[in-house]
Amino acid sequence: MWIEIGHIAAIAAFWLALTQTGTALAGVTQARPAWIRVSRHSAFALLALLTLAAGSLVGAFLSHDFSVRYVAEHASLELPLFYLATALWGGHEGSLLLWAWLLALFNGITVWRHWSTHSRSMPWILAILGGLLAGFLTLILFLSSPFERLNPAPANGRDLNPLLQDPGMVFHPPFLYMGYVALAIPYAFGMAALITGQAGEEWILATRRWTLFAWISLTIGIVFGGYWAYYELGWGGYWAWDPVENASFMPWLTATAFLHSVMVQERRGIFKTWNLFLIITTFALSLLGTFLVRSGVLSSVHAFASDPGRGVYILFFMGLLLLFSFGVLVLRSDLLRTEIHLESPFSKESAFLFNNLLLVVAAVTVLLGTLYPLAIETLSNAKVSVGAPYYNKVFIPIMLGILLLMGVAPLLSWRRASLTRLRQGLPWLLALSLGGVLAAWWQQLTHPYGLATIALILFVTATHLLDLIQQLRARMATASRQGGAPPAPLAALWQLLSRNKRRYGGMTVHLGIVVMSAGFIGSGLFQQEVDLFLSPGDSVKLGRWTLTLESVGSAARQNWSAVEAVVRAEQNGESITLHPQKRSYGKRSQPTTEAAIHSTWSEDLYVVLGDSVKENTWNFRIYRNPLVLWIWWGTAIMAFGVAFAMMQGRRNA
Amino acid sequence: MKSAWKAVLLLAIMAILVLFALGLNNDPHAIPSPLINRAAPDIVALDLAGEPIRLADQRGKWVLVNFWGSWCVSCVAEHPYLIELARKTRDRTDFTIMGVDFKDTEQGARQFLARHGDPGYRHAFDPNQKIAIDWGVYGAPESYLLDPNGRIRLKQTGPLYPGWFEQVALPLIQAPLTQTEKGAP
Amino acid sequence: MKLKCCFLLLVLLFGLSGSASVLYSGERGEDPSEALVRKIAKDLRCAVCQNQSVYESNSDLAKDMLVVIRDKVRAGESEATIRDYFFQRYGDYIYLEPTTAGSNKILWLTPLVGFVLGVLGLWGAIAHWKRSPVVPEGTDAEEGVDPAVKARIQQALDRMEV
Repeated sequence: MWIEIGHIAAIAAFWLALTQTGTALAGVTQARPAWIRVSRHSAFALLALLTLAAGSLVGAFLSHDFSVRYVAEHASLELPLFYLATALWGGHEGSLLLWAWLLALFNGITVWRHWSTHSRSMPWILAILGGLLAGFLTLILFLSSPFERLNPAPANGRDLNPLLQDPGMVFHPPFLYMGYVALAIPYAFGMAALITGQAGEEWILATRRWTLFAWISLTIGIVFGGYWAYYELGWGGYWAWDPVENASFMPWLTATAFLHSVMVQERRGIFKTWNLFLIITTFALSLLGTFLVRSGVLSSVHAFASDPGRGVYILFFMGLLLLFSFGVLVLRSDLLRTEIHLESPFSKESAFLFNNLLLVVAAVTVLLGTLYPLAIETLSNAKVSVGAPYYNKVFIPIMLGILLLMGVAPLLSWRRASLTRLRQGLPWLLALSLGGVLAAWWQQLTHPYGLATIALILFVTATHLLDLIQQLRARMATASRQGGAPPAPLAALWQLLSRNKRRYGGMTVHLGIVVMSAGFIGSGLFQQEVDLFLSPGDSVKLGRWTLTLESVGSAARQNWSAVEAVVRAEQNGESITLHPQKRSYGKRSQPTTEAAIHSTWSEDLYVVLGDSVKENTWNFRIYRNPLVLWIWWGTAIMAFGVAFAMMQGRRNA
Repeated sequence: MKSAWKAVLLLAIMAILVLFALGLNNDPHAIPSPLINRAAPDIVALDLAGEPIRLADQRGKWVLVNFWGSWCVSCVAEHPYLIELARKTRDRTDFTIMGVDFKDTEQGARQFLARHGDPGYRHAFDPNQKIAIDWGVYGAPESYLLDPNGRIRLKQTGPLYPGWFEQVALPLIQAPLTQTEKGAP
Repeated sequence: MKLKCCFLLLVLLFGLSGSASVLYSGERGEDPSEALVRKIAKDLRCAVCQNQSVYESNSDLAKDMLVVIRDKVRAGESEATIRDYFFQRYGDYIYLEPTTAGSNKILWLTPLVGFVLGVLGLWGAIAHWKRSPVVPEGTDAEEGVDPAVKARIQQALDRMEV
């Protein structure tokens, strides 16, 4: 019963989305504010209806209503409550519904928050967001309905794909979708600005927090994906340059470029067209990701169930959106002509330009690598693979360039950087980086990328700290010159930080990236692994660890049973026990590997139980992955930095 | 924006869209075989009865090499046609069939043949899919048609279908050999 | 010499099973050839499980391909020979790192060319923007102020935020 109500609510929401677009357009073209108010109320009603629709599906999961096909395919009586409640996004149809609901939510918040402050662009924003919602709801209602019933209803469901029964996978999709969907808001503001001809700085100032929120959600979503791969897939890594991963990484790269280049427009009023191009591209890339993932044109480990009808529709929808957005940009861009004047190539402005160049080259590289096999197959019927080794070779130099710019950035000021400031710090910084490289060399690290990364990590950290110290000194000096007693250093530090939340938030994000980079280099270049067969009582050495297989037994929970090994690992008197498993989930035959991981600051010990080749002998893969924890903590630092930056209100407001 | 940039931008977008539209017809799982028109790797193995079997012994005939396994669902669908084909071509001196049962157990294979019918030709037994990998097989069923010189002429990925022999194989078998085909080892 | 004996012994012990690993009692080490096996297997794509390497995949085909690689390495074949063996059978598809032959050059050169052209283009643009006329920004009240002082103030302002 509830699911039918949810279905009707979703259908009504579809019509309301059309109403939102239609009335907004009618209102703005005929100068009838009443119509626009109808559009506003549609936005709120739509949110309520989609909440009902999504709620009905969650309710069906929680009440084990297997007469609903989607529930029967993605849950079972044995599925633990935590996964039952989040199985909504365990499959294609529910993921799309979550996506649409988030879009409706952000749509509602936008109308509520910006109604009075942005009355001129609001009709266009409403029209664009309503159109997007209608597009997604068409896909949901006509091509991927989660509201279908099964008749007769099965007694039990087929259970959630065991690979998805992992906390990483529970959080990965919502964050990723939040990122994608939140990008729609600056996109809609940008388009509205372009259409109304008000493409000054206003739309950028208004959507600054949206952009930051979208960016950090995307970041967290991507990292959760890696976290899931690391803990659940059991191959010792976290990023495979899979097309689906690339699909989420491309918009991240252009969003990062956008985040930086809008600062130039805010500050100097230049690069208007470029910023619009970036936000349109970013949003288009997030749709392109959806197309690649859900149409079945590309093969990937994450392969979603796909059918050609969906592919054709998503392509049509994406084509419409791309041609509309870039078409408007091309037609209206002449309005944005500004006289650009730069005082000096040594300035923040030009550093941001090079940052944008590198990020865009990076995005183009990933796009090319992802689409090239498709192009070759379509044009010549041959097959090529573009895998991790390609990206590792091509991508790392680009990333090193970005790190270098990141390190230089705090040394540069707007308009014209003072070279004396550069000269003061530079010898020390170079000495520090060189020292790091020599130390690493002495530690037998000869990989050029590894050495370069270490040098750059030190360089970035040092320039960021140096900048903080210099600013702090300046502030204390000013305070004492003005007559008062010099403030306590901590109080001065707090003053400095809280008055420049955005600046220091951004620098915190940079430090988070540095911490992550250390993690990438540590786990990428220093990983050690052994692949061998062990019987109980056997031991093996890896790094400083001595691992002993004590026994192999079994374990079971609500919906799985497993072969479980007990492995004792010892180093310097420290002894821990690890329990790697090979799980079979009753309903699905495919067994999953549950790696046993012991994480410390310096390294992860990662043990994977393989097949039994003969009586009492098992295959083991044991990895030593240095600094993996730094990747997760680096992300946390980035999230903290973004949150801090978001606390800053609008400048000039 | 300069008009050249506008054109580049719109062209790039159109190109990507056209590529996607064409790409929708691709099968992401198919891998074209580079072995076509090249000499087939020899098969030296034991058959399901434990007797030695060798592909090179069939040189001089067109050979259909069929990779299958009792675990493969599509092979069940394909099987009736293989039985029919074996019966129809029993009297041909220029054509023969050889099975390769891979990633299987002897018992599983025998049960499969008992249940779905024995087409009569022999099967090389390949439990560790060494032969299959040697032939670039990635799924089942897959079939290769070899000419009398032992050269692979075509590959059928997925089940053979009724009428395959007449529509696909016979035209090749009846076509006169070209110069290069005669000269090859 | 010793390695060869070992290998022969292994072949005798395990025959066709191929799951050869050195088995001593007590402490175990990895077979020394395993590093090369791993290197080769990590660069070859498993043919059924999309976009995973032979080494990382859990599929049956990947496991058997790993055994083929292992057997070939232990038989003394070089990395290039083994890679070519798979290339002859599965084509370009099997290499996770595309070759630099033919149209694959597009793949390898685009990032580099894009970067170089981008740098040159930006450099030119910046030089052009630097030459373009200064839009007068000063208001009446600021007139008469020493331009050097003005520049200092502007610089201090610029540095303060963001």
